[in-house]
Amino acid sequence: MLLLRDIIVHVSEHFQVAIPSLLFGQKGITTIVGPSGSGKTTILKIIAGLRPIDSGRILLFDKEIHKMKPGEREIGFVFQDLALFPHMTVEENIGFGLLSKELSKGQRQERVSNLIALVGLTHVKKKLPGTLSGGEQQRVAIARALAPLPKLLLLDEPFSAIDQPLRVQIRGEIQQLAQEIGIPIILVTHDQEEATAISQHLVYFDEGELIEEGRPEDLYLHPRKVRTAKFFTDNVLIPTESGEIYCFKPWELRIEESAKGRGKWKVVGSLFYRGKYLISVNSLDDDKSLQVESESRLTDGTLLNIKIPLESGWKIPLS
Amino acid sequence: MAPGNAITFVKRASVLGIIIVLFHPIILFVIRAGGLDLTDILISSAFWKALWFTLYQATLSLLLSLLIGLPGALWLSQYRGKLKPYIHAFLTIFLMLPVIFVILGFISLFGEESLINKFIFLISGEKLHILYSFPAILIAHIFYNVPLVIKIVSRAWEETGKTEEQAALLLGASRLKIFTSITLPKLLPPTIAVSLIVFAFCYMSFAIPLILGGSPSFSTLEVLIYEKARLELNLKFAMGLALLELLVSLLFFWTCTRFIHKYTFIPSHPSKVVARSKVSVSFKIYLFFISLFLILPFITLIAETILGLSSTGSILKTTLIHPLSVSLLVALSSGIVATSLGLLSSLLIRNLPEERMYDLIFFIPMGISSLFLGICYLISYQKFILHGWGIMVLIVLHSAINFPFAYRIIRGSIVKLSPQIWQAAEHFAPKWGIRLRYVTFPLLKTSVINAFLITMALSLGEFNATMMVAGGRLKTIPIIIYELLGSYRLESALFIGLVYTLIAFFIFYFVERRGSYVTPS
Repeated sequence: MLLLRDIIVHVSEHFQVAIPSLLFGQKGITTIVGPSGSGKTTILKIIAGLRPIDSGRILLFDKEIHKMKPGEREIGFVFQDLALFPHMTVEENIGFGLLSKELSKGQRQERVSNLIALVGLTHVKKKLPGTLSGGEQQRVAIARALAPLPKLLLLDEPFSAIDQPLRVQIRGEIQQLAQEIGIPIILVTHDQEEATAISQHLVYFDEGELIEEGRPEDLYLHPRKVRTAKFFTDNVLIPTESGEIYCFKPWELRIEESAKGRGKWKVVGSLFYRGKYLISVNSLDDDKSLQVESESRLTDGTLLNIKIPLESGWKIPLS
Repeated sequence: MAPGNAITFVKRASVLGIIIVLFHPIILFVIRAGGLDLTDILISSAFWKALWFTLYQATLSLLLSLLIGLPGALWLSQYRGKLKPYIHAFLTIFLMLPVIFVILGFISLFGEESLINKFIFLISGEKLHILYSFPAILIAHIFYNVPLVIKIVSRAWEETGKTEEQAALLLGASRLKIFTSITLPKLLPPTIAVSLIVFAFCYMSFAIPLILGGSPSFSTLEVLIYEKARLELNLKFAMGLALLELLVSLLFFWTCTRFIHKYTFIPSHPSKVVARSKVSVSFKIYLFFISLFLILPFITLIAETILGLSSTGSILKTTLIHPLSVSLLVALSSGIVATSLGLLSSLLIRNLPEERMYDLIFFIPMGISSLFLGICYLISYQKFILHGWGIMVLIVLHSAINFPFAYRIIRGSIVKLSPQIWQAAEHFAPKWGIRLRYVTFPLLKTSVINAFLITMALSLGEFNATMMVAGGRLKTIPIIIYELLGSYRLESALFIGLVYTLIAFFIFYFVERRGSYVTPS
């Protein structure tokens, strides 16, 4: 339904965003993920029309939209800092996008009331945004984006300004909303955990280039590019002498209990993480370093051997 | 031309148009001054004497203002009491107080027949002879500048924080080393910045040396320019002087700006300073005297006015009606023009690649003396003034003087808002009319009203440039006050001055108390 074709945007003298072809699905949540400064937000802004493209085409449901003004594209946008109008109440903020539509006052009010109820803000509808909590502000921004009945909803780093417990709640709310409203959602984040948790489709971006896309579990467990594998920080990459690279998760590497106290790997740190210990080790033979999982904390300097079962690792195809 | 490029072109052309409309007399002046022979001026002793005196009094005023103001700034940066917003509001008044009223305050305080002088005479049999002397100029400059030093430096010091000092302490540095290598470099840039402003004010001082100096030997360059242009009608000489004054000030500010850039230190993590719990007795005495020094001219102005009320009535009726209507017309019109152009420029330059450059361009007129702008307008529009169009020239001149203030107030409120607010407005409302009605105007309403009130108040009190253009029947209230002082009708001058000061006071208090919207985080 949303197609980006031969897109080139010169962001600065030394940085450009280039997308030969990228198709977003009809339903569900697609997440554009990548490190900071990779060009993710630029993609969102060119889709919304907030940034011009230097060349290429953007089609939304087969309609060319790249020459249209932002307000004419039928796309909802939730800004990173929310950009709520500070002088308008919650209901005025939500209704702002309807002022340009040919609707009667009653129709406008009805739609605003429905959205306020949908996002659970009835008790604060007459308040100014500055008096609301972070989560409430987030919901106002989402409701405002949905009011003009967009065909697509874009969310720019929706969790960046929210603390951890609220993040999980908002994540759940967005997933529920995606099902209720039935329009596709594209969101941008630099957080790998959020990206894999919330989305049905993942697009990995780095240095202005589209690196890889697919289901979150595929990109996480079976990346086809080394750059994607490196982005998920818990991956252990082991190059072989033949030049191939194997990708492991820490729990796939095993400490040989019988070789504890002697061996080719030296413990340099232990970290308690989600009920287990992540042990960092350095090779005595070369400059390799790995992370393995352990049931107990190991003292720094302990020597041990690690079993690397190449047969269970994921071999990244040579490109 | 692509639509985006065409819009950018129209925006740039419009901004250039605004600059030309307001400041074209400067361009015309520079063109004409290019052919001037400056030899006559450079060999005249009057020029060198005035230049020397200008630099001397400005340097001395600056040093004394810093000496008196910096301890106050240190105290205010650490004070966390309930009175703090009121102190800031009080100090703000001084930044905008019309110079003619400061002069009236001093005359009511130190005049031969003032209450204080009568009291001193009763006790000692002697009177203070401060007015119409060099100390009078210095005291008036200090009175004007100490609040500026306290306000600006205390705000900057508040922001510097103590994190770097604490880090240095933990790394084992001595107190002296910390002060010289960390604290001093942090405190220096705001102090230098305020010093530049104070020096500029004193360098371009006109009304204070003209009225409170009272002697040709206390003539600054600005006074000399006025005398040559309006009293001796030697416009060529005045133009040459204005050019030289401009060159000296540009050279000075260019050197200082380079110095500031070289030594500016930005703390990595700005934080609030730790509040002091106790104030020493010596500091309390200092605060008492500084407060007395700043408040006393206002009190004596009120007291002297009330005491002289009986003899003001008849003069007011005959002399006030015309200048009051001129003042109000010029202030209202120039307030509207300056605010409208300030708003328009702020909106036009938004999102232009050279957006920040315009901040600098529109800052330049604030560094040019209003008297200089006055002489530029006088030269360009002499014939118009002679043919009775002086009031129109005065309106444009006041608009040009006050435009940078209006621009900075409105631009400041735009910069404070998140840029995404404007993007959101554009995204949700394709029609610009809706964006203007529901977002732009409501968000900028407060700053536009503030800009209008402040430019109007500044216009009401404008003296320097008005002295160049006004004359004959074209007189404003400050000019009338000056003339009343010249004809020794002090009571009437004080009464008008007090009414004006009260108007200015309420305008600035109203502006200071008004809040503005801040983007929710």
